Amino acid sequence: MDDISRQVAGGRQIGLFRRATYWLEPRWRDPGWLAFAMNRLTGVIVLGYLVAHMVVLSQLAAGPSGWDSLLATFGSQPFLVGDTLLIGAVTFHALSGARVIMLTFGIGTRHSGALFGLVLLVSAGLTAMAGWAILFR
Amino acid sequence: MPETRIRLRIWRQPAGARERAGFETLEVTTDPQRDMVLDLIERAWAEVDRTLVFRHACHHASCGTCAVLVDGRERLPCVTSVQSVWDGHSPLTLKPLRNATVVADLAIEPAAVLAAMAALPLPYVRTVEREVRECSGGDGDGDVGTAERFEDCLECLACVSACTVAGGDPDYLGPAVLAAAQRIVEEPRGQDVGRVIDMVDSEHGVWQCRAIWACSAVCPSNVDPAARIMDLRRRLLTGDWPAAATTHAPAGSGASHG
Repeated sequence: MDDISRQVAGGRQIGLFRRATYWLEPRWRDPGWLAFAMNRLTGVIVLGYLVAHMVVLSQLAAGPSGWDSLLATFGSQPFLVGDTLLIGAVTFHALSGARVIMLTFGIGTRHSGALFGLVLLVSAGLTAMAGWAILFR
Repeated sequence: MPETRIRLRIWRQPAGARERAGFETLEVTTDPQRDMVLDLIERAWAEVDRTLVFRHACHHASCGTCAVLVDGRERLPCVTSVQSVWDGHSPLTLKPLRNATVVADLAIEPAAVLAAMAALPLPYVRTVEREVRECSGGDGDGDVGTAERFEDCLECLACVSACTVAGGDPDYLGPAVLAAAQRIVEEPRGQDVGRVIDMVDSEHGVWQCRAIWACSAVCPSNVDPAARIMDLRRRLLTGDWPAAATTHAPAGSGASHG
């Protein structure tokens, strides 16, 4: 099947930079592009968080005093705001993934843009609720 | 509306000289209520610059040849009225389609994708040899060749141009080819569907689609390639193949092998 792929390419070459950044090229008229770009961006954020989380956990080896001071830092206001944004990223990514799964199974294919709107709305609502619980309670 | 002047900001790219490409503004007369964008391009060629290169044929959204970007959006200029895209004073920007090799100016080379579509065992084609003969006034003995096409798709490649994924992966089969493949799977009419399944269930096949739906948004023929790609995915996951295809369905797809 690689033959047909190469045939489609027709000798068209794309550089490494373009391959890495093509999804960032703005297509504001297509809500689906925003859905895709935000899905990928939040995926990168979640991956970054997981790596940072593993690095932080490794500090347990430094003993209780080091760990307690880290926890105090994470309880500060900027980190709590970060937690809220992280919840927003995770929520959006999960709901966006559910949207793609629905579309894959033929559900809502005539309303893919509206589905994206719903994903935005629900994830914004859930993030606001989480933010209120984290920052103001 | 009386005739007025319109500035066309047209992408100019000499054949084989990508480094000398850039926009050039050509001014022509238009009646925005009467004219289609293709009329303006032809007028620019006829009255201002005879070196302007563009593709066109039927003038009525039948051939799909003339597709270009009009103010950044994939359109068939032959059926896009000037008044629907022009604000009355700004220049109208015309560029060749994206994700394709530019021959010169507004003309792209569609052969690669069309050849891939031709490689499919398409039962939904019209052979237009007879019409070609009649139009040429020949008696049927001349070397007029044949032209075949997928019945719904205009093969204008607007969908490929609008596809974000095709912009990052030149090997991606793309919405036009995948939509044609889905049509075969949907109703094989005795064709070898197994080969099609192998083709779409590949590294550069349906799984590359990001469900952006831009292809369907710009399709002038309502083929809805995005929904067709999703249908292929669903079939691959559930094994919902026509009876003739089950012997070729990929392992783990849930289809019976026998």
